[in-house]
Amino acid sequence: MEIGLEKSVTVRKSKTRKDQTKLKLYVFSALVVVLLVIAAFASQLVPYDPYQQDLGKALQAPNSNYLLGTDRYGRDLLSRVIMGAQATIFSSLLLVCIISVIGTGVGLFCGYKGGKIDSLIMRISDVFLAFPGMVFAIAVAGVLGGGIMNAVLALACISWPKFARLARGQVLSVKNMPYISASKLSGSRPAKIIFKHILPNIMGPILVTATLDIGTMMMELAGLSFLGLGAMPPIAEWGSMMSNGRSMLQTSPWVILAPGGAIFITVMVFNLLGDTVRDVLDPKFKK
Amino acid sequence: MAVDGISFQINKGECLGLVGESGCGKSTTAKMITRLEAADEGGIFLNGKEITQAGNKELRAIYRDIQMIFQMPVDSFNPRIRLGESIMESMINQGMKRHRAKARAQECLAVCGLPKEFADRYPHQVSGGECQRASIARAIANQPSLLICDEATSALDVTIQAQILKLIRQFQNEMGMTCLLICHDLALVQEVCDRVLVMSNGRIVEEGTPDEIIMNPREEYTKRLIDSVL
Repeated sequence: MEIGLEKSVTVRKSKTRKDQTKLKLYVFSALVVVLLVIAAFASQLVPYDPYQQDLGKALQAPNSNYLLGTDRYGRDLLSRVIMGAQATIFSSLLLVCIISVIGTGVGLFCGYKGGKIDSLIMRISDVFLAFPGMVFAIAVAGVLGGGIMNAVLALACISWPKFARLARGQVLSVKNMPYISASKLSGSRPAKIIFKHILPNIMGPILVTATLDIGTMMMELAGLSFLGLGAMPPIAEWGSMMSNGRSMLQTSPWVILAPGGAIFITVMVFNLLGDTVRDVLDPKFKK
Repeated sequence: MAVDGISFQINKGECLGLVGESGCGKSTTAKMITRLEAADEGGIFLNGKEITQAGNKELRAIYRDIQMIFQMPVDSFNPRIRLGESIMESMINQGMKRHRAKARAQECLAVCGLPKEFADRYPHQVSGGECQRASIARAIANQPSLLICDEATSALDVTIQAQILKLIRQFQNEMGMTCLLICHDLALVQEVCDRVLVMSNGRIVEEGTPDEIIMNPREEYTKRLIDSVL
């Protein structure tokens, strides 16, 4: 018996998925860049002076003159949201930079060194992790006083152990790879081994966590500001703007919706970027 | 305890085989000789000089004389660094200029039978055998007096194994290198080594020329080891 049918086999190319991930990376990076540009050039972009009060125009609903309406002092909300991007985005980025650098440094040191000093520092980080983070941050910010820099410091105090743990775990898994032994046999100093051989190989997960943390930190900073422990009035900052508008939620919801929407969009964009970065750095993606 | 009270010496220019089953302490022995792992007791001597307590600075000087080839070729190279760069590392650490180190790295690759383009490749872009050749190139770059091959061929297939061994043998003859060949394959040992140590449970149980050991094993353990191969 003869089967005269030739079966054509199509192999699904993994290329499609890969291209999509690349595309997503470009799109979200572009969105983040747009946000950063808005934040950087906020003072040039604002249609009105965000600090100019005019009680005659107070609490106007969104209209063609004031696209997002005005708050109770008659300040243009769009201008304040744009101006607030500067304070909110840059302080979150600063915060994430501080905690990822300090945390990674501590983790590298502990993981590479090992021994008693490692145990000691890790127990200290356990203490920080055991505390309810936000409560501790409120306490620290309360002691330091208001101001956006103090809020950043307070959150930095409680957030570094996460990165220290992550980095330490990664170092421990990389440290015993043969290429580290080979590098020692090449006569490399510990500093060279750490920064040339260990750090580049543990950067992936740290970068992903840092990107995903930008959103979280932005929310926490806004939370502190909402409680009056972050940016001080009249500085435009999304958290404190929401706090100002909360009593008017029923009568003029746009006052709280404008900064709320800005936080929502920004956090989402940063989180999406974080997810995409994770996909891109996935070793399976590389092949 | 992985290794317990072993004592042996390797003569200059000799190829010494160290055989035994998995987990008998062969690799730990290699790591102790290279000081990657600390020995609790005893001494390690290189050219008559004790290196057991050598400090970091001395150790870096010692590593010009001792080099090692690892079992997993691809893992023994940093995945984010080009092969050439990894080969150059030891030379640059000794203060050699970059362009000279680069030329020397390409020379070493050529000697090991790899075209110089391989210097620009990443470990995951080459095959296991090619990677092991690069790892030999890295080991011989400084012309060490002692080369330790820790199961250098066990992750490779049979034909590549023979090529790699031939290469090691060739360097040993040309440069008068001393070689410690850690292996679990008695046939390979018989082909290459001048003398063999049989290890079991962290101790050396038998010593002799490969032929002696394979033809008339004295210890029960050695007999079982030979039987398991044949």
